[in-house]
Amino acid sequence: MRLHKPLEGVKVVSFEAVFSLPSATRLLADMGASVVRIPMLGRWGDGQSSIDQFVDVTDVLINKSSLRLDLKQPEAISLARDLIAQSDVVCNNFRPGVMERLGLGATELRTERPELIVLQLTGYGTDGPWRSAPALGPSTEAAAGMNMLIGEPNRPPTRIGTDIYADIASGRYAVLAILAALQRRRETGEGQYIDLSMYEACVHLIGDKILGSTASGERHPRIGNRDTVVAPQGLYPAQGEDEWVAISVTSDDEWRALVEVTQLEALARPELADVAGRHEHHDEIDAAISEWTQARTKDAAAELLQASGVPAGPVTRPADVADDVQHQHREFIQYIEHDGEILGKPSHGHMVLGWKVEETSRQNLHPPKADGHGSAETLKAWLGLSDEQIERLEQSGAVLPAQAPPEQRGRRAS
Amino acid sequence: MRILDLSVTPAGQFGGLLLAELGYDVIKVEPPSGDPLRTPGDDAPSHLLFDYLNRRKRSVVLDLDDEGGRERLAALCGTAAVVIEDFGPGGLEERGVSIGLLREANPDLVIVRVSPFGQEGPRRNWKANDFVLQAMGGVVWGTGWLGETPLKLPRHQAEVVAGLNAAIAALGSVYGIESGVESGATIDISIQEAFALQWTRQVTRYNYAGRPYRRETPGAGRQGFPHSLPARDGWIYMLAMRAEWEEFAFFLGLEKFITHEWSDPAVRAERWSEIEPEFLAAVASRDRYDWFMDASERGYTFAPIDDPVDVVKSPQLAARDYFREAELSNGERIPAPGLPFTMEAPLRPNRAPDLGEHTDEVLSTLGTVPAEGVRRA
Repeated sequence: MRLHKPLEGVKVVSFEAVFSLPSATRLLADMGASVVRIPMLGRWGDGQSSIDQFVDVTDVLINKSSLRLDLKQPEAISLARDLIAQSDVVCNNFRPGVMERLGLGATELRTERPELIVLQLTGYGTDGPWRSAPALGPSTEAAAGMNMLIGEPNRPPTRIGTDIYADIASGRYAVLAILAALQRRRETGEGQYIDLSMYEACVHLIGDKILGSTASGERHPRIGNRDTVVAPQGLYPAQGEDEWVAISVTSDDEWRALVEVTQLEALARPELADVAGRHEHHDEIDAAISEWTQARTKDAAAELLQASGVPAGPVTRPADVADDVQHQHREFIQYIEHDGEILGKPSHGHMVLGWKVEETSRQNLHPPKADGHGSAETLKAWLGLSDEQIERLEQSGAVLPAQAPPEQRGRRAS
Repeated sequence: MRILDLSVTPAGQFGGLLLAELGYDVIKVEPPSGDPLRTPGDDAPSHLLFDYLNRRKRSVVLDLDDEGGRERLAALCGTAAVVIEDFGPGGLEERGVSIGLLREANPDLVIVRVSPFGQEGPRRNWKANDFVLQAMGGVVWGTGWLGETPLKLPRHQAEVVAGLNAAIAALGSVYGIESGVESGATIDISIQEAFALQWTRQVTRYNYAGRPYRRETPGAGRQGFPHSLPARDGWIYMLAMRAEWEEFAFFLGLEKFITHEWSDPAVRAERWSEIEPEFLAAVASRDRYDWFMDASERGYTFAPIDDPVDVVKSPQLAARDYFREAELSNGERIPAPGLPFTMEAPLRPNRAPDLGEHTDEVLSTLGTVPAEGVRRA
C-alpha cells in the first residue's frame, strides 16, 4: 500500500533541542518532508550517553537525518548557511538571540532569501518581559492557567502527568503555522517569520476557559474528575494495582442503564433519577460504583457498561497502549526493527501519525538513529559534497562524529 | 481556500477555528435547528464554548435531510478544498451524504472525519465524551498523586487536541494536492489516538525499557520539594530538579540547610518534614511574579501558576498583543485568545456568526452551475 506523503519535496533545516520543536519536525517528516536535524550540543540536545537518555528522545529522531555541527566553528556556520540555502523552512527552539549571535537570525536569513520561512519556537516568545525566562513545557502549562484547572477541591493546582504535553501541543501549532506559511508562499512567493510561544499555545488550548473567566471575572474551582453539568462522572478503582475505569453518565437514560447493569440497590432510588439529585448524592454514588468496579477488571467493567450504552472506558497506562484493541486494529503502533538488539529486543513499538488516510499505509517509520549517523549521506544529498570534502569537515571538527549507536550503550549509572 | 465545517462537537469545530484564525474561508454548515452547541446544555454550560469555537466563521444553513440540501452541499464541495465532519463513525452517511457524493462533486476534496475512536475498529461505536476519551487516550493516568485517584485535564482537551490534528491533516493534504504529489484524501482521525500522542515519551519509555511510570508523591515529589507552592499572592511553580541544592537553598534564603548534612537528595526527601516549614515560609514571603523574575535571572525554571482570570492580565501577553477583542453572542465585547503565532492574513470578524447569517451570500455565488465540473479556483 502506498504511503501518505503530502509534504514530499519540502526541505526543512531544524536547529533543535529536547522535545517541542523536535516533535514538530518529526511530524513534518512523517508527512513526507526532508528534515535535517541539527541538535543543540549538550544536555538539552544530543547529550545522550546512556540508553535511557536515547529512549527519551528516540521518538523525535525517527524519519529525520541529523548533523552534529559544532556551531562555534565558522566552517560549521558556513555549512549551516549552505543547508539553509537549500531549504524551504528553517526553524529553531534555541533561546531568543542565540541564532542571531551565530549570524543565522531570521532577519538576516530572510533578507537574503525573502521566500524563506523561519520559525522560532520559544517558551514565552521572543519579546516581552518574560522573553528570557527559562521555560520547559510544564512551566508554560502552569503559567497559562492549565494547572489551576486540574486537581481536587482544596488541594494544590496539579501539573499534567507527562513532561511533554506543552511540547507536543506547541509542536503541533508550529506545524500548523509552517503549513499555512507554505500555502501562503505558494500564492505570494513570500516566506515569513513565525514567532511561536509555547505559553500562548497552552493559553489557546484552554481558550474557552480563558474566555469564560474574562467574561465572568470568576475563577474556575477545581472539581477533581467531576463535571459541572453531567453526573456522576469519575475514575473508579478496578481490579489490580492502580487500575481505573472512567465513567461519565451524560443522560437520565444512561443512568437507568447503569443502575440496571450494575444491579446496585443503593442506586435504584428515585431521588437519583435526575441530574440534580445525582450531583447532590455524588459521594454516595461514587462509593457504590467503586464497589462494583473493584470486583472487575477495567476492561470488563467498561465493556459491560458500554454494552448497556453507558460512556465508560479503561484508564490507559503507558503499558496498555501497544495492546489496545482499537489501536491494534487501526495499526496505530508500528514495531520498528533496529540494526541490533536494544535493551534485549530487536524491535519496539512507536505510535505513528495521528490520522489514518484511506488507501494508504500508516507504517512509515524508519528506525531512530543516534545523532550524527548518516552525516556523509546527508551532506552528499543536500549539498553534493565529495568524500574528500566531508572528510575534511570531519577532521576540522566542524562536523562532529556520530553518537554511539543505541545498541552499544549502557544503562544510566544511577 | 474554503473549508466546509460540518462539525457538531468541540473536536471538529476547534479544527475549523484554527483554519478560520489563519484567514481561510471557513463556512459553518448548520441544520435549520442550528449547531447543537448554540444551545447551552450538557455539552456546553453556556454560550461561551460556542462563541470561542466559531469565531471568524460564516454560517450557512443546509437541510441535509432534504435532497435539495444535499445537492447544495455537493455544489459547495465543488468550491471547497476541505470538509470537516465529526458526526461519529458512519454519521455522515446516516444523514444521507456519502463520501462518493462529495468526491464526485470535487475529486480533490480533502475530507477530514473526526470521531472518538475512528471510523473503524472493534470499539468504533463505543460511547465516549471528552472525559472518557482523555482517560482512554492517556496522560490522565499519570496526572495527580501517587496513592490517589488520577485526575482529568481541563474539559475538552482531548477534543481540542484532535481538532489541532484535524487542521494539520487538512492543510497538509491540500498542500500535497497542490504540489501534485497527493490526490483527494479521506482522513480518519481518532480522538483517542490524537490524545495518546500527547504522552509519547511515557509510552516509548515503557515500550523500550518497561520502565514503570508513577504519579508523584504528594509531598516532596521527584525533585525533593513540591512543584506547586503557595507564594504570597498565589501559587508558584518551581522546577529546579537539576539545580545544585546549596545554591538553590541560598536563593530561597534557607542558609540553614546548606550543610553537608543536607547535601544528599535522598536525605532531603526522607527528612522533608524538617525542611518543609521553613521552606514554605520562605516561598510564602514573596509574590509569585517576583519569584518568577528573580529565579529566571538565575536560570531556574519557575512560573506563576496563574488562574485563567490572571492570564488575561499577563504582562507578557499584553506586551505581545496576544488578545484580540471578540464579540460574544450576547453582544458583550471582551479580549479573546488568538493563535500562538502571528500570521499576516486578512481575517473575518472575531465573533461567531448568527445562524444562517451567510446562507444567501454564499449560496448565491453557486448560481446554476451544475455540481459536476465545479473546481476549486
